[in-house]
Amino acid sequence: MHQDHPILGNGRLGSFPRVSVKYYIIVPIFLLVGICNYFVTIILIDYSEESQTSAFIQRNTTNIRALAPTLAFSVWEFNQDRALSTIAGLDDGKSFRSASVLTDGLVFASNGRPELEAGAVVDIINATGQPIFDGAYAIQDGALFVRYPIWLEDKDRQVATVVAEFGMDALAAQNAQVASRIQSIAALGSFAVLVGIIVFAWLSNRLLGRVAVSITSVAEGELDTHINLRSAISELQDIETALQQLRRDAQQLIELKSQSRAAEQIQHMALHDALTGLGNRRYLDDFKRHLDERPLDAWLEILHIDLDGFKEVNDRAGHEAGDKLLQTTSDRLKAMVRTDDWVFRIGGDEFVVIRDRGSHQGSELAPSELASAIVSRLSQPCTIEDQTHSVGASVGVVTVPLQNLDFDKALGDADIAMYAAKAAGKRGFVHFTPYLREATQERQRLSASLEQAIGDLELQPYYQPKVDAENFALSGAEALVRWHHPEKGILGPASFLDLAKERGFLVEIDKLLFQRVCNDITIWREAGLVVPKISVNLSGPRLSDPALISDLKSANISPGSLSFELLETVYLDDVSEDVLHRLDEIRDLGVSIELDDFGSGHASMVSLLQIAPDHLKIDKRFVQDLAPDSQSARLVSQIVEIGKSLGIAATAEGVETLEQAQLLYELGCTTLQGYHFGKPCPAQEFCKEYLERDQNHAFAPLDADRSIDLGRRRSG
Amino acid sequence: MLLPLSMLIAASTWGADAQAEDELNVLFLNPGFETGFWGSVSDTMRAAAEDLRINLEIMDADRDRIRMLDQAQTAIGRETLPDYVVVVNELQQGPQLAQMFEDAGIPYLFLLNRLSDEQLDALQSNGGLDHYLGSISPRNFDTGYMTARALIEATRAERPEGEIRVLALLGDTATPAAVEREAGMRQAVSEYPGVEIARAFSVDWLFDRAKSAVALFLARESTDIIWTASGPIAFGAMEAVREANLEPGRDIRFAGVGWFPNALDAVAEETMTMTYGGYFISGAWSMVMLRDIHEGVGMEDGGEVEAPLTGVDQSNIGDFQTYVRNVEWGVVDFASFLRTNTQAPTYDFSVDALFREIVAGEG
Repeated sequence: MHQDHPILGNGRLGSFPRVSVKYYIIVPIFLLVGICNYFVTIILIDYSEESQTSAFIQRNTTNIRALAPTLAFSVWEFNQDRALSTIAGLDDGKSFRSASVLTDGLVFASNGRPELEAGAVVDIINATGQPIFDGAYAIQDGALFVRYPIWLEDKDRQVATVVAEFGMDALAAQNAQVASRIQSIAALGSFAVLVGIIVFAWLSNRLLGRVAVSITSVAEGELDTHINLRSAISELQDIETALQQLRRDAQQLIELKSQSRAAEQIQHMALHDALTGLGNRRYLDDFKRHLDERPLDAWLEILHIDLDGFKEVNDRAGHEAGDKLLQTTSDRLKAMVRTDDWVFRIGGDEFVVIRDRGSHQGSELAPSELASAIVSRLSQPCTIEDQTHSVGASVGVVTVPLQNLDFDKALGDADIAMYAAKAAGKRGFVHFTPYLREATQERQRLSASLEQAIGDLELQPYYQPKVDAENFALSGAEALVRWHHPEKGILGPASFLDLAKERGFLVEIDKLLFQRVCNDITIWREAGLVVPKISVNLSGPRLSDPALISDLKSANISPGSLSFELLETVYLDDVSEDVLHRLDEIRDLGVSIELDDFGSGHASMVSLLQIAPDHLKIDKRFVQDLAPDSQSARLVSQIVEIGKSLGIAATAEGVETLEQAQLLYELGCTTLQGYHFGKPCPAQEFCKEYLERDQNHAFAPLDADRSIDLGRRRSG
Repeated sequence: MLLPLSMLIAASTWGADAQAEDELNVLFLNPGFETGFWGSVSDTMRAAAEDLRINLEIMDADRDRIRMLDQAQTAIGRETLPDYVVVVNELQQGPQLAQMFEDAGIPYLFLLNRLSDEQLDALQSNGGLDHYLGSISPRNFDTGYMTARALIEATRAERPEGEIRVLALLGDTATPAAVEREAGMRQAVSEYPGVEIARAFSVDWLFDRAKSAVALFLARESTDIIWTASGPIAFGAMEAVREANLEPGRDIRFAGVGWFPNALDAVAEETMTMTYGGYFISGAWSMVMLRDIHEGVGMEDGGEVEAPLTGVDQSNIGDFQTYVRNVEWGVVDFASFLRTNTQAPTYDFSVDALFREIVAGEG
């Protein structure tokens, strides 16, 4: 029923027992009042009696004292009548009993009916008397006795003594009356207090109830209701004002909160991937802040995951499918980790899982086990809109102690390990080791210098001759890229092409090489040399490069002097219309097309039909094991036959021996390439060794000398 | 030379046909009662007025001073004003009465209690004393002195040695009469060694007060002499003495004031050693003086005439018993005291002269 307020909470502090204000107020206060009343009554009655008695003594003694001068003269003048009429002034009609004026031990004048002899009274006062003014008094048997000296002032001598007796019955009665009145008032007061407390408690209850209702309404979020406690009591009005303030504050707080929630959302968006809801790269960068709260003896496991083949899915099935695949991957990853592990998507198909091993020691998968599980789980095909897609995953794993953690470095290490997994053939994981970092650093250095190399024209074409299989005459050359590294010497493509591909340098490299080849051809032609057809490798990106055709046109190469070699990877999967169209454009410019490394991959016959190259180059792996009647020989024969049937000539590469050359010729290859005929060499050497020499032997017939000659030249 | 002439004129007026016109209207504002001492004063006054062709009106104030002032006011407010007023400086109202009659333009004469010199001075400076005729008053000091001396001497004669105690019962403590008599008494006491005042206090001129006080006194103390300021006081004290089983005149001596019969009897019985009197006859003397004044006979002594007093003791009690005790004042021809008649330079108000006239009148 009581919904906790989002801001104010349920407002209960501690756990006091619930007691109504009635019992808090009525019972203790009434008990207190009762006790106080009792004591106050006793004290009051006592005080009243005492003060009444005291006043009684004072009054009567004062009366006597007031009469003293008159009495003095009366006595001095022996004026008994006046003395009598004077002491008659003491008779108040109530307590007065008697008064006597004594002179020389004799009664000079006496009034009333003394119950005791004057002498007896004097004795009592002498025995128990208390002084009062000049005289003395005593109380005995309910009577007040006063003795007062009468001085004749101008004679400076005591002329008489007044002895008076006052009954205290009336006083006692009066005291009793006062006492009963006090008791009545006390009882009435108690009753009034009781009624007052009950009324007060009732009112408090009511008013507190109103306050409670108002506070509850605020607490339940009814912030638009104007709070009105309907009370003239200033304190309640204060509470009302405070509640109004509270209400307004709460409103403002909520507004602020919603604002800050919006800000949070923006923040969240900034830190999270919209597609999967996972933390993004920025969040990961921020993540190290969370690590400060961790115990220092904990270990952190970072798994850097990169999907294998995602790009292909994305390209083939579209971005929507790619997004779905990423979501599926995200869901799968989340399902595999614990709730307090973290999963990030830090790039297109890159994910990072971070686990805090300190809090889950022993009960969980080891990082390798988790990495392995992730690889196999993400490699399972998934169906998106009735299409089944399959990707793999490469995972880099790093385990680091939190103590003295360099989080960025750890992330980098995981990244390195992931690349190592990729490099190791994908669909697997690699646990980071320092060696990996060194290798990566090496790669990075290489990458940096490669970029530099492209700029500084350190990349050069090396030309490897191709010969006619029939007569071993020079029929062409393949331009192969070589890097004249300032420190490492001459590097072949195997040592940097992967890197170039990864770094997106392929277009630049192809472009550079193409220009240099064109340049060489131009130089050679201008030198009057006959230049055979030079083939240049064409990478996928370069094939898609819009500048390719214009570059070709501006190169001003005569048709038939140039061909492009396509790697099988370029045409491996379904060949798009764009690629086919581009190939047609190339052919229209008189450039022939060769398929490189044919038979090494998964190239299908369909692609062969689609592309319809002028040549296909049989992969050198078939040539290496080549022997008469061998499996390779039969395969080569089949390939050659298929080519022939389609009008495609076959070239064999990697030819290292004469036997291989002869056999390949017999198997139907039209062109041969390999060390047996010549290693790749720089343009000048190629020009000097082959072009210039060959001018006279153009189209020389295939004979032993020729072949030996060529073979010799290679070994020399 | 002038005086005899004026007397002649007066005599001719007096003796001639204009008797009715010669009548004087005199008002006596009696401070006391119709009886008692002041009654006796009025009696002698009336007797004299008859002899002197004076219409005397007496207003008794009964010792009520407010009443006395009211009566004076009434007299002033009348159509026919009195020719002369006789007033008494009693109850301290003398100056006020004098001022009233000054204002009304009525000549006035003080009797028995005269204005003190201070009071006269005050009136003089407050508008003058144009109508003040003077006074006739006895020497009260003498009364106190003579009575006290008589008592002391009689006691000392009986008991030459030892202390003589005197209980003095004063009339009051304010009127000149009481104050002067007390002073006289104290003068006498001071003149005799071994005499001591046991106590002196006022009994308000009252018989009963005197009796009661003395009774109380005697219950505690003793005395040889009880000096009293008046006769009634003495008789009150005497009763108490008798009730105390003491004998007045022997155990305790008394003196009286006045020639009242009881006083004369007491002297005769020797319960009183002496009584000193002559007061009430002053009422008659005042009439004589007013008649003389009216006739143009000036007042000697500045208008202040001393009324002679005489003590009555064993030596002369016989005469007083004979002539004064039961006298009808009407028998006395007061006109014979007029100086217009005597042609004497002063009045002779002596006891002898009085006795002579009494004898003449009765004879």
